[in-house]
Parts: sequence; C-alpha cells; structure tokens
Amino acid sequence: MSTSAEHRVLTIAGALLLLVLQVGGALLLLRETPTTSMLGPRVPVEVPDILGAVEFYGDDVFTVTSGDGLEQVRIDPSTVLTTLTGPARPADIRPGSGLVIWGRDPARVILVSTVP
Amino acid sequence: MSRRLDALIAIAIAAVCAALYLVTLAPGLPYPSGDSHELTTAAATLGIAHRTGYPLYTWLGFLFAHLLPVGDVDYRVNAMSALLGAAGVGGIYVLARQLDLRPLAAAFAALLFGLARTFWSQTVIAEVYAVNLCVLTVVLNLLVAWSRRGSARLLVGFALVFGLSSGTHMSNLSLAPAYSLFILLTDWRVLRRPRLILAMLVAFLVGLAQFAWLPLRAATVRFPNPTPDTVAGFLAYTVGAFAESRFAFALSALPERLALYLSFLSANFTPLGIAVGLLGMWVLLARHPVRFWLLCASFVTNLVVSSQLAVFGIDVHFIAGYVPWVLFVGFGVEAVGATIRRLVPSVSPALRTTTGALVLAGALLVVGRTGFAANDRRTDTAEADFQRDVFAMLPPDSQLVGAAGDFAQNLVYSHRVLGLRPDVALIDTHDGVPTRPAAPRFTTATTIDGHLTGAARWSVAPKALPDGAWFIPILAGARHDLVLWRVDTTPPVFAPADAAPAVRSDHRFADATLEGSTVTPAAPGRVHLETHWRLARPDDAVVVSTRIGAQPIESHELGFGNRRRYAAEVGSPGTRVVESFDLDVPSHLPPGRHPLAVGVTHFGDTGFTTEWLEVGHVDVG
Repeated sequence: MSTSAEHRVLTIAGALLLLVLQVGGALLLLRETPTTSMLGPRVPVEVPDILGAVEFYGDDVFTVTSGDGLEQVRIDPSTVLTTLTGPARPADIRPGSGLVIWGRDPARVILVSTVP
Repeated sequence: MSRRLDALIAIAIAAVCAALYLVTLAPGLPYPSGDSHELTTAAATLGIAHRTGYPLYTWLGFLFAHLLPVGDVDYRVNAMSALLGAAGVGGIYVLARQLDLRPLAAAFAALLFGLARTFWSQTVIAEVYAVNLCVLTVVLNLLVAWSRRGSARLLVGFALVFGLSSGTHMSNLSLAPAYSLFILLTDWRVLRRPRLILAMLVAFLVGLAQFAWLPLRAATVRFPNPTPDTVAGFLAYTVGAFAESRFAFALSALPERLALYLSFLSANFTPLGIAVGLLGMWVLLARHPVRFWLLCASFVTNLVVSSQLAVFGIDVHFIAGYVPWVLFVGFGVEAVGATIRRLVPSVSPALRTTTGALVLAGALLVVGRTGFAANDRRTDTAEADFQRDVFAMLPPDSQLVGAAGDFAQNLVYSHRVLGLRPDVALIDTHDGVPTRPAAPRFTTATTIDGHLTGAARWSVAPKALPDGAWFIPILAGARHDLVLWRVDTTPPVFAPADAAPAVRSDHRFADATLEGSTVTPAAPGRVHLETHWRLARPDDAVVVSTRIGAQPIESHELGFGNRRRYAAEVGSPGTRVVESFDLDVPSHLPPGRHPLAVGVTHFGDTGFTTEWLEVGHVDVG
C-alpha cells in the first residue's frame, strides 16, 4: 500500500471511529433516561454532586468531608431528605452520617445513610 | 522555534505548576487519607503498598523522603507529587510540540491539564497519579520522538520506561495495544527487525522486573490481602488485583457511565473545553492520522477501562486519558484560531496573537480558579495535629489499637517513621493481640452509638480489645472520626458526683442547658474542655459543636454515642452529662488569643440552626 493510500485508509477509519464515538456517544446519552435510580425510587438518577460524611454543623450550613475536601451544604424547605427506606428529617443527619447530595446551595435531594 | 526555547517554555510551565502545587500542598498527612498515609509509610520504610505494590513509586518516594531537604517525611512525599506532577505538565508541553502544535496552543494544552481540578487534587497529597503522569509523559515523548527520528534507541528506551511505568500504575499496561498500533502504523517494518523487537522485549521486562521487589519485601505487607510471596499470591497482588472491580458494569449501564465521564470532563475542562476537544479530534485526524490513532486509541482505552471500574474516587483514574484530551483541545484551539484568521484577515498578526493569548489566559484563569478553590490544602493539618496529640497523651507503656491494614497507617507513620513514643505498643494488624494484657488500652477506631464500626476486615483486630469494651473519648481532633478513645470494660459515668465547672453559665440552648464549663490549656496544641449539661429528657439526642474563633473544630452527639448504647444495654443515662476531653487546636491558626465557643444545633422540620456560646479562649503561641 502506498503512503497516500495508507493515509487515506487511516483517515477514513479514523473518521468512522470518531463518528461512532461522537454520534454513538450522543445517542447513548439521549437514551440515558432510566425511570429509576440504582439506589431506588426516592433518589435522582443523575450523578450526585457530593458524596461524603457530615463533619461540622455551622450556623445554618453543615460541612461535609468528601474526596474533594470540605464542602458547605445548605438545606432549605425545598430540600428533599430521604433514606433508602423512607423520608428523613434534618435531625436524622447526625455527625459522621454518610450523605449523597444532589444539587448545590441549597441541596436539592439528600440521601442520608445512618452509618457513619 | 528552537529546541532550547521549547525547553525553556516547558521548564517555565513546570515551574508555574510546581509553585501552584507547592503553595496549595497539604503540609502533612492529608485528611481524608485515601491511600496517602499508606503510600507515605511504604515510601519512608521501603515497604510494600497495597495492591499492585507500586515499586517504582515507593522507590521514588524513598528518595524524596530522604533527600528533599525540607519538612518532615509526610511533607516530602506530598511534595514529590507536586514536583513530579509539575514536571509531567512540562512533559505535556514537549509532547504537544512534538505533535506539531504551535507553542501557544501547546502551552495552553499543558496548562489546561495542569490547572484542571482532578489532576491538581493529586499533586497536593501523597498519591500515585501525579507521579504516574510524569512517567507516562516520558513514555509518550519517547514514542513520538521515535516516530519523528526513527532511532531504535528511542524505541528501546520507550519499552524500558513503559515497563517501569507499571510501577506507578499498572493500568498503564492497558495502553500497550494503542502504543503497538502506533508503532506499526508509523513503521510496520519494525516487525522485520527481530533484534530490535528482542531488545524492546528485554527492556520492557527489565522495567517489569521491579516487581521482584514484592516477594522480597512480602513480610512488610500490612494490607489484609494475600501476600505476594507465592506464585498465586504474587499474581493476585499484581495482575489479578482488583479483578472484581474491573468491567463491573452491565452494558445497559453504558449511558450512565458515559454521562458520569462527561460530568468529570466538564468539571475539569468546562463544556467549552469538551466542544473544542471534540473539534480537535477531527483536526488532528485530518492533519496526521497516525498520531490521531495514537491519541484516540489511548483516550478510548482509558475511557473504556476506567469507566468500567467499580471503585471509590473513580475520577482520578481518568487522568491518563486527560492527556490526549488536552492535546485534542490544543488542536481544536489552533483550528479556531485559523478560522478567525481567515474570517478577519485584515487584523495584524501581532494583534491576533495577543488577543488569542489573552482569551486563552482567561480560559486558564477560569479553570485554574476552580482548581485552586477545590484543592487548596494549606490548612489540612487535622490529621497531623491529631497524630501529634495522640502520641503526646498516651500514658507510658500503654497500648494503642488501630484499624487493621491500610487504615491504621497514620498511626504506623507516627510511631515507626517519626519514631513517636516507642514505649507505646501499637496493634495495627488484623491478627494483632495485646502484648501487655494489663496495660491501659486506647484506640482511634471509628465508633457509632458506642460500638466499633466498619467492615470486619478493616476494623480493629478482633482480639485486640476486650469483649463489650466501652470507648471513652479523651481527645477530639478536627474531624468527626479523629477521636482518641480510652478503652474501658465498664460503662461510663456520665455525671460524676464530684465534677463541678469552673465557670457557671446556666445557658439555655433550645435543646439543652449548659450549666457550666472549664477550659484549661492542656499542652501546646490542645485545650482541655469540660462541659456540664442538663437535658430535658434522658433520651434527647443533642448535637454539640466546638469552634475556635471562626475555625470549626468538631461536632458530635452529646456523649459521643455512649448514651445511646447505655440506654440500650444498661438503663436510663439520666439527664445530666459531663463531657471532659482535650480538643485539638489546629496548628494553622494564627498566633494570638482566639475565643472558644460551644454550639448546640436545633433541628426543625425543614432545617436547623446552631446557637453558640463563648466558654473561654485559646492562646496560640
């Protein structure tokens, strides 16, 4: 195969690969609409914003230690607090509780684990 | 542009990144640990880290720990991430130039990588990913240099460093098909040169030979896994490591995994960075299809392998794939620049270049601000402060029980690397037993409701503590699970009859009354706090917090979980509680007098508020 022919074949194959990657990826993302999360019906399907443990209670925000460091989390009456088995209350968020949090300032949904 | 100028630019880029990483570096053992404490200890003692062993990382860490003339060992191993990570960013510039990106786009691509939040996060702590990036850029530079110059030595050098790179992260070996493809597409006649192939194979095996280190040092393994001193153990420790976590997701989960990846890509490079990178893929394909296949195959390999991993903190596994991505972005940036040149040809080249540089600098500023805010670990002293105070407080000849394996390496570091308190017996292995049965025992293990928590394999050695032990807090660090407990065989007395506060306050919080408190300096770096509480009902759960000045220290449930356990196992814990423990004073606080405040959190139906009362002060010298 000549150099220019090799070049052409590689380019065509590369274009096909990119089409598969970019168009296929876009189509896959469009299909990403499962009706329930793997964690159950009470929690959102999308990727959480913060995963961590309750560290400290401030005046009206609490601090969560996540893999990215310390995060400030604010809740308000619109925030949905839940466990895997049922609704939760703010008092269920104990020091050291594991939290999965969607949305920021205020948090939209907080999944509370009772085990620190 | 001359090679010398390119080298100077690469050094300048590395210097800028090194400065940023060192400014934001964790000053000691970071919190949370991840694998940092273990990697630091392994490097300092020439031990073996968790699977896959990371021999090259350990050796480099040993050199830094012993040769870098600044700070303690923990700082030095953290600094290795900063310095080698920065060198890797400089290496990306060199790579970009070798791929014929212009200097501006090449510098932008390198700095975009260096300022992105995920990579930055790995340069400020002891971890393998920044060091691995440095080695990986050497691998790629050698490979591309060979494709440009055709020197067999470069190819043999590539094979050697590629083999070595398995010692900073074994997942690098998954890139072998991508690299092989590139070699064949560049010059398939390599296959006709058996001596060269043999030389490459030998060089690669020499690189891999570092893993002979594992059986030689198998006795140092503390991780509760099979030790690498048998063939089966060696294979399980290396190529078989985390087999259960690889390709762990069903194909039906592909859209979700892809969405997860895009969220990481966007968090690091912004949605605009994704768009420009997608464009850059096409640009590179049109310009140089062979190089496109190298970068694209590397990128896809990393995406496929890493997105299928079922592990915590998966984002760091994508770092190797971010290298081709920023190069794609570089090509995209050049294409956008060329388009603008065609659209507005009347603008002078100098003005175009200046404007382009300013726009790119602005983009880097946006990415860098996010990276800085997310990764500034200057005040990450909680673990180091806690370690210092734990070993200062323990009575002579006492016994300290840590979590087994990886998660007690903070204690192992302080005890064996720093040499703190050799009189204390440290029990940190899963089969550990008390060597001094009559000596007082202490632990830093995590508890909930008065009981030890954590999966059995990570928790303390089962025989290290007496059955039904109670855990009495004597030191609270600046994180919820940094607590030193005195181990007792009898339930605590919550309100000793002879306890009286130095200062009476009778302050009524919403959920409890603080009758009084005593604050006394305990030692440099800690303060003793005794608080006397009265509750409305014995079963009230009250969250108490402390802060020094504006600096949050800790929050805990009154009684540190023991009141719940007492109610379940003994009877009513009563309505009076006296808490008496030392509190870590963060070493990063500025000198001066700081107010010490105690807060109680009141929970409503939809929120909470914390009310504070100043109970004393802390003098920082």
